[in-house]
Amino acid sequence: MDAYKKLILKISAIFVGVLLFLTLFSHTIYTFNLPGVVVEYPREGAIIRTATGRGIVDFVAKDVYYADIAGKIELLVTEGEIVNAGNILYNISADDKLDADMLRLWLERAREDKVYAQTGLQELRVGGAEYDKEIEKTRLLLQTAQKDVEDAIALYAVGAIPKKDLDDKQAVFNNLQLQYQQQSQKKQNDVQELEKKVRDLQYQIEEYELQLNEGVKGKITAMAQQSGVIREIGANIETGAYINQNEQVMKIGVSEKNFKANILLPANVDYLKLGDDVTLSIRSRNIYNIPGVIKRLIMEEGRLQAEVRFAAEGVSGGETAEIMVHDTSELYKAIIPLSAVRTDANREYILYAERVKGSFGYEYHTKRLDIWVQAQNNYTAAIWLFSTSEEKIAVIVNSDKPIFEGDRVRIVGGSDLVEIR
Amino acid sequence: MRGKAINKIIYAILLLLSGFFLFPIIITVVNSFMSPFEIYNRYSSTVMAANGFDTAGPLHFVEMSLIPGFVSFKQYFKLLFSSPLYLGLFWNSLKITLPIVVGQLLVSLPGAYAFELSKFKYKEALFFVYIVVMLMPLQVVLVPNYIMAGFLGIKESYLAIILPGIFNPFGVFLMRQYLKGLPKDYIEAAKVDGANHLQILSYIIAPLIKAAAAALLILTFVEYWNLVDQAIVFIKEASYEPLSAYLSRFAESGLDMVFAASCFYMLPTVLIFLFGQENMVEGIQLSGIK
Repeated sequence: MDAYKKLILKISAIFVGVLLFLTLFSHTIYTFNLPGVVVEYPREGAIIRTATGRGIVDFVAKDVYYADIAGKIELLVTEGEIVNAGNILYNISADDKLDADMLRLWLERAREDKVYAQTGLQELRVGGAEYDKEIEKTRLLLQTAQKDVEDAIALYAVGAIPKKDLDDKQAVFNNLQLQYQQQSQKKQNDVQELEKKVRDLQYQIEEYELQLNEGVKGKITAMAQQSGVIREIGANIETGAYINQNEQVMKIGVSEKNFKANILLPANVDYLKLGDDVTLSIRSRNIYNIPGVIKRLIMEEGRLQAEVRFAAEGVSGGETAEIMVHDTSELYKAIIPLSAVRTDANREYILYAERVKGSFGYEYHTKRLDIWVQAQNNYTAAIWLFSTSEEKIAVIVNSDKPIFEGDRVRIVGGSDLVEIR
Repeated sequence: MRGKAINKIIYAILLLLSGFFLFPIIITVVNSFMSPFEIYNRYSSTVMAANGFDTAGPLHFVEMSLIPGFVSFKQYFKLLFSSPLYLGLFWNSLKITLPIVVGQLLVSLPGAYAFELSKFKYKEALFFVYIVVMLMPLQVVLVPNYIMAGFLGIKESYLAIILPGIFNPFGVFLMRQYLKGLPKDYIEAAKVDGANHLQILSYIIAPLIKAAAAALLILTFVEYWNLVDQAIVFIKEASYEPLSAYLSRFAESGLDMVFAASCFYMLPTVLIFLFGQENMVEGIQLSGIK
C-alpha cells in the first residue's frame, strides 16, 4: 500500500474515532446543557390565606361641642381627662347679656329637631321599605352577576374568552357582594345614628332649659352629655381666650366600652365578611387577643378598609391596633406551588414534563396544559385542570433556564420522584 | 501547433465543465464557514433590516458568495457537540451501508463467476433477466419490495433495505464484465492442477479482481449512503432513520446548520473515493461499463 493510501486510511481512522468519541459524549454534553427543572405532582388540599393589617383605635361615638355664643371661655377640663355625664366642661361668658329669647328659640328648635328625629326613628324601625327595596335590587343584581361568573368560567374553560374577561366578571360580583352586605347593615347603622341624635338633642334641650331657669346673665355652661374621655380640645382654646360663636371647643370620646379601628388590608382579602369575628392586638398597651367584629368593609384606592368594633379596658384611643385574619378554603383536588402557574396574553397555564422515548433512551419534554386558578395565596394555588386524563402529571415548578412548550428538559428535583425515572 | 491549440481549448472547456460540477460542493463547503447572520442575510427570501437595501419590492434576492465575510466555526461546534441526534443517525447510515457493501462483494463475485465461467442451460436468459431488473427504476421495484418485506416480517427494520441491497444485480453485472476481460488460461491451469470452483474463486479470481471490487465498493457505498426513498418507506421510527432522510428536515435547525451538516455528511464518501479512486477508474475501464 503506498503512502498516499496509508494517509487516507489514517485520516479515515481518525475520522471514525472522533465520530465515535463525539457520539458517546455529545449526548452527555447536550443533556448537561438542558434546562434543569423541579417537578411536583398536584396534591389535594385547602388554600390557607392570611393577611395582617393595622389601624388607629378611635371611639365609636364622639361628642363634639361647639360654642353657642361668643365670649371668653373658662375651661374646666383638660385633654385626656375622664368625665361623667353631667360634669361641667366649660363656661363661656358673653360680652352682652344673654338674650332669653334667643335661648328659647334654640330650645324650640332643639325640641323640633328631636321630634323630627324620633319620627324618623319610628318610621325606620317599623317600615324602612326603601331600604328593603334597595337591598332586594342589589340582591337580584348579585344573582345575575353570579350567573355571569359561572358562564364566564365555562367559556374560559374552552378558551372562548381571555382571563381578563373572567377577572372583570369576578370583580363585578365581588363589588356587588360587598355592596349587598353594606346595604344590609345600613338600616341598622341608620337606626343607631338616629338614636344617638335623639339622645344628643335631649341633652341639649335639658341644657337650654337649665340656662333659662337659672337665668345666668350672659353665661353659657356646657355639660358632658355622656361619660367619656376628653379626646381633643380645639387649638388656641384655653381659659381666658376669646371664642367665636359656633367654633368647635372640644371632642369627647364616648367610651361606653365601644372602640373601633379602621384597619387597612390588601385588596385580595375577599374572604372577609361583615359580622366576621377577628382578633386584635394593641402592642403599646400590651393587650392581645381582643375579640372584635367587622362592622364595615370599604374598598378604597386599591385597599380594603375594615372597621372593626371591639371592647377593651385601658384603651384611650389613638393607639395602633393590628389584626391577622385567616381563611381556610374548601378542599381542592389539585394544589400546586404558585411558581408553577404561568400566564400568557389570554390565559393561565402550566408546563409539565412528559416522558417520551428518544434516540438515546427516555427523554423529558415540556407540554402545556391550560388551567383555571380557583384560589391562591402567596405560595400555592388551587387549579382546575382542563384535561380529561386521570393520569398524574409532573408539573414543572421551577427551572434554571427559561423554558417553553416543546423544550427538552432534565429533571433535577421534585417532591415525588418515585415515578420520574 | 493547431493540435496544441485544440487541446488547450478542450482543456479549457473541460475545466469549465468541472467547475460547473464542482460549484455546488464548493458553495456548500464555503458557506458552511459563514456565520448564521451572514447566511440569513444572503439566502433569506424575506426582507430584513440588514438587507433591505437590496430589494426590488418585498422580496430579497439570493446573494451567493465564495468568500465568507466572517469565518465562523460555530455551526460545526453546534453540530458536533450539541446535536447528538445527528451523530446518532450518522451511525444509522453506516449500519445500513456497510452490510450492503460487504454483502454485495460476497454475493456478486460468486454470482459473476457462475455467469461467466460456468456452463448451464438458460444462463444467458437468466442473465438477461438480471439486466432487466437492474435497469428498472427504484420506484418500480419499491412496492414489490414492500410487499415482500411485509411477507417476511421485516417491514420496519433495516433488513428491508439491506437484503435487497445485498442482492442488487448491479454487482454481478459489474463483476461479470470484469471477468470477461480476465485471461482464461489461469483458470484452465488451475483446473488442470485439480482446483475446485471455490479454490479457483478464492486463490485465482479474487486477487485479480481487486480493481472491480474497489469500483463496486465505492459505487455501492455512494448509492446506499445517499438512499432516501427506501428509508422513508421502510423506516417509521425517527430515531432509526439514516442521515440522508434526516438531512431534508435539518433545515428546521437553521440554514447555517444545513451547510455544516452537508459537509460532514460528504466526508465518508470523499474519503472512500480518495482511497480507492485509482482502482475504481481501472475497474470501470476494464469492466467496459463506461
